[in-house]
Amino acid sequence: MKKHILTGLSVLGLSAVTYSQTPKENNWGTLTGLAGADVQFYTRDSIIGAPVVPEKMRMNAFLFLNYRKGGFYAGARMEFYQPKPLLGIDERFQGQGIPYYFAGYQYKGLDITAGGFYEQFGNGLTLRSYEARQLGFDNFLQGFRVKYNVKGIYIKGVFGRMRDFWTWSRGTVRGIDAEINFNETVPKLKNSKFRLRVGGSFVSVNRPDGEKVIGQEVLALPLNVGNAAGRLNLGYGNFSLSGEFAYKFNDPSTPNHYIYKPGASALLTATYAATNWGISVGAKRIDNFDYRTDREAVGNRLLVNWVPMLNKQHTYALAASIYPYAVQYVGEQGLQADLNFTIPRGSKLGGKYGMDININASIVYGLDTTNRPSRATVFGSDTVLTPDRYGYSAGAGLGKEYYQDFNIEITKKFNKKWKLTVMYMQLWANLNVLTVSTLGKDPFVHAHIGVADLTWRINNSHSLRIEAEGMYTKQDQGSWLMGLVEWTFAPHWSVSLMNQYNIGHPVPEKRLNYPLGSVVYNMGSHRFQLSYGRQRAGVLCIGGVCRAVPAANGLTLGYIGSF
Amino acid sequence: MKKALTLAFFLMAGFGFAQLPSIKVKDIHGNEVDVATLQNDGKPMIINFWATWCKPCVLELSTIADEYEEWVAATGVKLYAVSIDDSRNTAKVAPFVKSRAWLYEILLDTNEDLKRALGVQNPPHTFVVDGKGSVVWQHMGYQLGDEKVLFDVVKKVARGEKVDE
Repeated sequence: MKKHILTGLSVLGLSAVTYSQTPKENNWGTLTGLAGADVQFYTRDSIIGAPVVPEKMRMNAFLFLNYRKGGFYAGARMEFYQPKPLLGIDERFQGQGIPYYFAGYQYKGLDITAGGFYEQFGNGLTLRSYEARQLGFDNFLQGFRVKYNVKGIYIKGVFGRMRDFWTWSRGTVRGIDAEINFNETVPKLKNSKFRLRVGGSFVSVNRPDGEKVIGQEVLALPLNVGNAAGRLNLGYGNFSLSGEFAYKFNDPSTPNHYIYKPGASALLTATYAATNWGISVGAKRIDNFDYRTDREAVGNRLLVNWVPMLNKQHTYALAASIYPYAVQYVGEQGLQADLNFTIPRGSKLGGKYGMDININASIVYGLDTTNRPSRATVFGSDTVLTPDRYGYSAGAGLGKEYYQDFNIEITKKFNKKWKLTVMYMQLWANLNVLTVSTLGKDPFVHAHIGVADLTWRINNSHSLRIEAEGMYTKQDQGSWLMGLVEWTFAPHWSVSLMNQYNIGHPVPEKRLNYPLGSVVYNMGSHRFQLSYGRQRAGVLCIGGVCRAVPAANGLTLGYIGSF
Repeated sequence: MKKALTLAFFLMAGFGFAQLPSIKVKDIHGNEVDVATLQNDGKPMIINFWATWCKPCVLELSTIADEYEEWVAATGVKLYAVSIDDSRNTAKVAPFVKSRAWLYEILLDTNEDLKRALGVQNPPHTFVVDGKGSVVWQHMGYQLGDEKVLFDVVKKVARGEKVDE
């Protein structure tokens, strides 16, 4: 353990030493880096449901180096999770090593990468490999990538296996993507108000699985599963319309209960952006679109594609982490509207600085599905029911309601010293689908959330921020209150104290407080953080992927630095 | 492990900040922009990583927006606001920016290629680039008052003075 800590600390030391280097140019090329470490010391706290951590201390750390010279580039990321990853991060990350490394060369429109790479085709319906460190999510591909572009025509090809903690997926991903941007290709359209981009992608996952035996059934599994998508971006002046449609061939897997129904997905978004106001309206339908390099993988593991969420990405604590929405890859449909407008400066309501208003509403339903009837097979005197492996048929109607959210946020700067943001939100969440609840007696939660966020700029370096939030609900864990006071002394220090109080818990002994104090020291591109207190069990979502955050109590030390 | 660290340490001693890398991002209309070709007639540039959902980012960009015209008049600076929003939110970037009447150049780094190349972990993260296209200063996070420090750096760079932390 001591050795682990020393190695981790040397990562920190390394960055601190680098920091003292003055920026300089030379012929060696450019090296940039990013290093970070989080250390948690856990205290026993059974009343909040914090798991017992026998190691008492856990650490996540990494060092990412990126080198460039001319058209050549290379890089590597060292990762370190010892003696185990932080609570909430998948324990299969335990260990240390250099999982991600790459080298490549760019020459004019050509770009070739060997090793690890992150890539996205279109909106991600066929392929998206990316990293969300706080979630412990990383699905980069290890193999080769070729990108080529000439005059507004973009072609990408990828081949590789996917990161699976410290090993690689058995399945292989092959993919190709092409896009034409007519405004770049056709000289006449160069500065046109009319904009057009058309693209398409095809991805195939090869999984040498052979057969799967379920009870009496022997299922022949497809060796290659293809996923094809076409997309369009159309614009005129302030208006734009974009859509993508994807079709996935039959792909029996654990998440879809081994059905052979093909998958389909459609996304459509229209936006209008004018001075002082803008609107975006989106719709989507996802049907059987879970796509992985391992058909038995579940959760956030080994996902090849990505489906964007269709609701607002909330950031206030009570709105973001108690009942967040998570995309249902097996099937869902939804609508969203997002309106931004600014009451102009100089108007009576706008005052000297204007007033920003955001109104957002979203609604998500399941698909209207009908299961195919099972077939009865007679074995002597026994009758065995075999499910129809096509699975279900999905109609055009609505299934169960999954989630609904309406919110309005107003930000007003009164003068150079005072700024206020208020937010009101109403949400309905189906806990049977989202499974984020610890109680889950009532599948539906209906909650009202109010937030006031006041910033007082005392002078050029001192400022105070006060945040008060309340959530009112009769279901699940009941109502919550949250308060935060943050004092900032620019450019280096920030101290905050926060408390969350589960005031309405149906069990009086569980009406608990979750105080948390933090000190942050910022120095250029280096940031040190120390916090102590209780962390509420909740859900952390980044970029549409969520993970459960267990309750915890203790001390956290964090460092992040870029150079 | 130890060897890797030692190697990294010695490697790093010889390097520093340098030219903007040749990474491709998109402008608000989906046209490709090579970051290495960004230029501002020899005047300083600010490259700010942000996202529509990031509160401190929006606070920073709206605080700067109140003074941006003065900054431009004094130094000729140009601010590139690089959104790292993913495809859940990319369509919302244009209405978000235009409704606030921000005058920044908006870039989209949806696949996070530029974010990785410049060593950015969380937004906001701000870089100052001198007239020759070299990154000379960077800062992570935003607290009220940080924009004064940023403007001081920009003024120094505009005068051709050396910048230190």
